[in-house]
Amino acid sequence: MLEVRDITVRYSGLPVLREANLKVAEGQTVAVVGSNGAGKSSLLKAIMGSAKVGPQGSITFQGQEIKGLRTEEIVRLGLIYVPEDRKLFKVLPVEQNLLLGAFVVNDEATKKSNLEYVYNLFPRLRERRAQAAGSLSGGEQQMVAIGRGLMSDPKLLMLDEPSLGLAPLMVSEVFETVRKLRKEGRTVILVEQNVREALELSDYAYIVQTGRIRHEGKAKELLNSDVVRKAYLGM
Amino acid sequence: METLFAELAKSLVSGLIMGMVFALVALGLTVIFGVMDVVNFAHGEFLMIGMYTTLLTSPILKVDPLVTLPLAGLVGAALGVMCYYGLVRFLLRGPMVAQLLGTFGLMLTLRNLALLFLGSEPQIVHEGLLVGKSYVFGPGIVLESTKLAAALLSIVSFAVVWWLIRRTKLGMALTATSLDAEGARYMGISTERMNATAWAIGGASVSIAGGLLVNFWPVDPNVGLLFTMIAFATVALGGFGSIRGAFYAGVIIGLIVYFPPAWDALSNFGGLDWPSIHSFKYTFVYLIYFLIMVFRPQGLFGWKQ
Repeated sequence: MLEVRDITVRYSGLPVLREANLKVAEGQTVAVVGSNGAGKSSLLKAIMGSAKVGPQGSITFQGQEIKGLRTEEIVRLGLIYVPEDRKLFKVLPVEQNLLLGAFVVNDEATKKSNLEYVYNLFPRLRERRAQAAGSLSGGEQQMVAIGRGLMSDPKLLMLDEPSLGLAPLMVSEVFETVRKLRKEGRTVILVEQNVREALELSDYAYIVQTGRIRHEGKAKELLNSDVVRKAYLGM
Repeated sequence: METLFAELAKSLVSGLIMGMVFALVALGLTVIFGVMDVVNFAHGEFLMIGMYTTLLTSPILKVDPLVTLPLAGLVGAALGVMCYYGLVRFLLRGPMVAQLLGTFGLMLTLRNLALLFLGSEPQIVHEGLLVGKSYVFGPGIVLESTKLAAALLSIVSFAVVWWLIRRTKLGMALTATSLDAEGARYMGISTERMNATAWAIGGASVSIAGGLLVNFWPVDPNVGLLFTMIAFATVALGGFGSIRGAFYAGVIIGLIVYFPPAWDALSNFGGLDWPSIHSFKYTFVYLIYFLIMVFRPQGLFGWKQ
């Protein structure tokens, strides 16, 4: 479904991600793990057309080249990015935020049923639908961000560090949500620092270190590999 | 006593009426700032072009000046879009000072083009359905029809823009762009197009205000300066990016501009011999601008509310 081939991302001349390759098949949950600053977010931003990608390499989505497209054009193809800093419209009510997530959906009935779906996934958001998004707790804001990402019923959902900065209880709730999405058969890329959790709930995984993808493989196999156990799980 | 009341009522009514027009003048400035954080120094020049559009097309098309208002709006919108794609888009890549100098340059360019092609003589609409007519209310309050129409049509235009931004999908996209442009792009909103739309709305609304003004206010290529200053004071008072703020602040500024005549009337009536402040009417506007910047820089309604 998505294939990233040999791309390099630079910030003011310095490469933050080199020659990255990544493949996601339909219905898969793919984890991209690694420590802070390894280049994970840059990979997702490169896919979304909001980070500067070098001239070589390609990014194809459902067979179509998307490298060089504008972010909003990529969104219209069904690729949704939930950024690390969430980018909520904080002064707007929760429901308005969610509806903006369905901006590319023109059919009112679809919009309504998607909203209903999100409210069923996160019942707490229904209670708080009239509150300003910025007034919610960190965990609830993350629910708005993920819910907003689901409002257009995306073909591929990319979650960037959804557990970052949340209380432990909220962290497990976020992972529970990702598990549910996987069960529904959605295609998800999950970027995480929380290596164990991410590997446990994914089909396939990539490990990023200092701007390069160092390892890849089936998530379960990586979880039991020496390199992961030593470097990330402290065993 | 009766003349005093008449004077006071006249100041109040004139203030309210001009306030509505000032609100429409300020609307475009606050919309453009709200959506993309750019301050347009050429705002008054858009007004000047709206004034000339009505002044010059009405005799050519042989229609009443009021009928040319949509045309003035169209010219303003087209000019706004041209300025965005031809200039402002590039300024956004530079530092803040590039935007200041860039729109300042735009102001000088438009003003001098007007001088070159239209001459420096002040001109005004002489013929029209409403020109020269007036209503008399109660004891000696004379209301010129052109001003009354300007106030009413200003409210209508203002309401249309308010509705567009608060109640339509386009407005929702504009709001999202104004709050977080990158976030808006992740929703599939073309922020580039929203920026251009803000310039179209800004240019159209201020040009329509110009078309209304020229019925009773002479136009010359330099007329924009005064209105740019008034619009800045209005937007600062209401809160940069605030649409509601622009409306209330416009009315307040209108009342402030027409306060000195009331003061002088009081002074004359009581034989108080207060110093006449009639000639300083705009000084109070700038004083308010200064005070608001010092004591409440976010304005009455806060930024982008």
